[in-house]
Amino acid sequence: MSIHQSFRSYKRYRHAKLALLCALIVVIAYAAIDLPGGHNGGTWFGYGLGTISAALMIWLMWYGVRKRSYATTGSPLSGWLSAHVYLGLLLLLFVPLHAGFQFGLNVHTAAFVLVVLVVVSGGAGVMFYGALPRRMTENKPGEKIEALLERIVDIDTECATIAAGMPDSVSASVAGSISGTRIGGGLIRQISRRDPACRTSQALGSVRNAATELDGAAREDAHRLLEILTVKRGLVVRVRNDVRMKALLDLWLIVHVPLAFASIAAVIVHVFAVFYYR
Amino acid sequence: MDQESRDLARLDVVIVGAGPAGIAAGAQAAARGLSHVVLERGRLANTVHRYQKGKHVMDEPPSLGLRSEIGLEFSAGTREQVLEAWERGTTAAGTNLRTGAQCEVTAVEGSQGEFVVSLNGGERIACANLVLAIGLQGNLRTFGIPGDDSPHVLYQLDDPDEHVDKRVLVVGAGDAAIENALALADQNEVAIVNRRDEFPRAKPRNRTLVEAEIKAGRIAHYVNSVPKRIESDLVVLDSPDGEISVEVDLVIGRLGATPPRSFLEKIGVEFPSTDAGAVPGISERYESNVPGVYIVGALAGYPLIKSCMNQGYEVIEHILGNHVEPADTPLLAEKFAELDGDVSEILDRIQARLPIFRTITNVQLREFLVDSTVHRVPAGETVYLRNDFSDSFYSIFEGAVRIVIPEPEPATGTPDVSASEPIDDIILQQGQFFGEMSLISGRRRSATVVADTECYLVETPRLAMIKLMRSVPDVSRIIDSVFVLRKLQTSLAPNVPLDDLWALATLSEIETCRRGSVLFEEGDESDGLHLIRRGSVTVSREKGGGEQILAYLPAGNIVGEMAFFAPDGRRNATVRATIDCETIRLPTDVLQDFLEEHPELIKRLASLEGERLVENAMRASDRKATGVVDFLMNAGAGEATDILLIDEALCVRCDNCETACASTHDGISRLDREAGPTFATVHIPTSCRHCENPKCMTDCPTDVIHRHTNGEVWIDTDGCIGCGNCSTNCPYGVIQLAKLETKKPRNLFMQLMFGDRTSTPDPDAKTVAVKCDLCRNLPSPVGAPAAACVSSCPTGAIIRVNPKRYVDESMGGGD
Repeated sequence: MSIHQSFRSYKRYRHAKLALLCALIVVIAYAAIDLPGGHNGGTWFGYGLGTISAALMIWLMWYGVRKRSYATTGSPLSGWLSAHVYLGLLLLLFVPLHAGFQFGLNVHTAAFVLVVLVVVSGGAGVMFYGALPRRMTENKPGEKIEALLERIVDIDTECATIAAGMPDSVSASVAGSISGTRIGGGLIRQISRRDPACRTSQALGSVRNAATELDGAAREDAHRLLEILTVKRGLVVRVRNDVRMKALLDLWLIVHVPLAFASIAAVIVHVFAVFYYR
Repeated sequence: MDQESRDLARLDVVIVGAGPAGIAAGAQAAARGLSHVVLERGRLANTVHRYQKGKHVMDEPPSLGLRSEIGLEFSAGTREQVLEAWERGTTAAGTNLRTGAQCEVTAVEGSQGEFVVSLNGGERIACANLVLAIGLQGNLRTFGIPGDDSPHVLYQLDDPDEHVDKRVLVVGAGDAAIENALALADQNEVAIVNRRDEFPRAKPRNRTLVEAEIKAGRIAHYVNSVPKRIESDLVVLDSPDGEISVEVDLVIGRLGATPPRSFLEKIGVEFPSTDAGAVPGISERYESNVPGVYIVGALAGYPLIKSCMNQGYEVIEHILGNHVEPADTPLLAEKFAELDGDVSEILDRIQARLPIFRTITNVQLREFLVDSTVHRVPAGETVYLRNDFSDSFYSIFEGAVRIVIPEPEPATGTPDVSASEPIDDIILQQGQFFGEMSLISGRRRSATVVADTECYLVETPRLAMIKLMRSVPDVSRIIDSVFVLRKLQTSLAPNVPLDDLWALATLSEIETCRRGSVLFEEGDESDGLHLIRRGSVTVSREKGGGEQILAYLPAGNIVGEMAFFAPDGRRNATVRATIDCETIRLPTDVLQDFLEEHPELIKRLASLEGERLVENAMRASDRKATGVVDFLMNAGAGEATDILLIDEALCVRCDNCETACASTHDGISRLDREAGPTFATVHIPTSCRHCENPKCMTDCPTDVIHRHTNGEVWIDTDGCIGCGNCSTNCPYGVIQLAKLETKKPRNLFMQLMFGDRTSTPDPDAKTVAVKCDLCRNLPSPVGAPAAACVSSCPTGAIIRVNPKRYVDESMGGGD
């Protein structure tokens, strides 16, 4: 199944190799070039590397534009993402070398911290992209989320029919499971996928308790309820898993993109400060 | 006036049949002051009357106009609008129209100038000329069993709504039977009696619908059964379980119609062929071999309404002795612009030179040529290239072409199995035809064709050719046998004299194999060699208690050659059809005799076997690969030329593919990423697979679904009327009916801030069929088809690929 080519290994790691080569060149240059007063952002080497880094940042941001240019030809978006990831990592090296490792509590270092956060959030994205897709398929093989929800609705209908003839405590808890089972919600809940007050779990508990006190047909009904409520809980767990993984696949972007804009702003401030207060 | 004297009042013309041709002739006869009568045993435009209410009546072909002189109106519209216009026009023209059972013509005697027409009611009418506009409906077949004329037995169904809460038995398995059963099933208890166990003759759409109803239990299905006798409230069936009685209130027999051949032959009209579906020969003036008997309408050729009406007008002018050019003459003259002579001379020459068209009537030939194009091709110019995806059919009117036989491709990794001696190119001369392989198999062109001398070629589009093959069995027979011959010539015995091959071709048999069934099984005794001419197969072998797939072979390949070399003559692998297949089978004994005469072929077959052995050995594929191939074939990839596949281990569910598609295609995504089957992590999203023999194309009334030479099947939405036939015919549910959206692009800032929704629905837009067109309107990057969905996937999860290539790579062979 090697026809599919991941962005990570795009064209036999072409961009990883390119990034490595750039890193080597810059590191060797850094070591080899002896500047009076040592390396810092104010030397010709520092300016040069700073300019390259800023240009690289602009180019990395251009990915957002390319992503939306649907009618374009040329390299596929996966090639762009491959380059975006590997070349983006270079910033972690270029910026410190640009500054000659001079950090402090100032606006310049703040810009660097932002850049690091952007790269780290991007790294999280790459990790999620690597791990989650396969797990999402395993979580609901070959099924649409709508299909799972429909099955839950079917179970709810059957539950309601059975529970109508059951003691009040049972029918109330089943009604609670039908109307009160929550899927998704706020970000925290989506990602934690836990509902401490899950009404389906509660209903399972109360039906189990009630079942011991019932007999005859009512007991059989209760057992059937237990059976389908368990299936429902399994489905709910799978839906929540799906919601969680989808959320994770989106979440890092919500951090990554605004931070990227912020880092660009910080770099502008940094450049302005450098030249204004020179 | 007594009966005798009314008989003697001789009319100028009697027109039989009040279809489009008959009423047009009637209107013109009235306009010209001819004494006339139009006789119709049913009612005006019976066939159109029987259409379901509100059905859209087409006015094909668009290039041909309705003669402006005709006193009747006709344009595309609903059944009601069309009928109303005709009824109004017939009255206004002063046509003498008589309808009803007593108007059925039972016999014609006499000769030109003094025909006597006898009617069912006993009346006799004398006339000078007779125009037969009776169509092809002819006489409806009856059961021919006791009770088949009972009042509760019908042979046609006019209005399904007349029947409610009845137990209905529909007998027959054609489109008419299915359509009746479906229409009645809403309000009645319906069962179908089928002499077979499926519906091979029905249109794919009807087959799908009725099979679904049967599966859902809404229609009962008596298979392999025939009615034996009909009683007042029951029908006795001869079924596999013996005689069974079924209680009924209504029996509908849709057993087809017998063409009115015997009636015509009694009058003396001759037929050019013994085919049951053949139509009589007629002159350019629509006159049959019997002077004074004219034939127009569907009985003269294709049943297209506009042509029929034009012919009705023209035939009256011919009777009056006026010279009138057929309505399509200017169109044909334009097509023949590069040839010498006038239209009728050229038509005569075409018929004289091209044997394949010898048995078709003048009218059929004209209709056929209206759809075709005549090309002048200078010597040395390429007609089409190998691997092009065109599927039109070419006849050589003048000159010669050269079919360039490709060098045999070396099998992957095969050591030196130099296939055989070089193969000579094939030269085809005037009168021959080519292009039939792609026409039948639906695959890419198998060889390049170059003009050997300057030549004039008649190019006919696939649909027109299929229409002709369907209506004239002789044409289809000629094409079939030439197909077999060429296939033998190109893939098996290139340097064997043609006469020997003809002999072999006549001994070969065309076999069909339904999707999923086995062509032959491992261990079976060999029944010969199969050339796959349509469809595709998998080759598999039993291994460790399971079946392991060794190869996937599309049309054009040979299977079954290995048994020839096996000492016990048994099959060493199972071959299964992945979709409905047709193969040319060369029976073992026939082939053995042939090989004795041509021992050089043994070497060729042996080298083929060698290649296959090496390939099979290389594909010591694992169970998982077999699983994937099996999955793809079950999902219908066997007929795909280009399939969209998602690796779910890479897909981050961002739906950028759908956004890209919608954004480049009028706001409507032609793929549904999440829908569709999945196996392990291989997912087939719902999107067009660009089938080899696209079912969507089979029943498009406006003929706007096309196949481009690159392979993409695309719908020209300008001409689409949104009828939905293609959508129902598509087995993969990839065609949607939608309103296209108008595009209001947002600027980049707005896109980044508020997302990509760039279009808004246009409430006035017409509903059209839309599907993947392989981004044919996007600029294409070099060497690869553009596809916005693929090039917009951030992770490389989605690819478009030829299934053959994918299977080969999955199994470790291939490139």
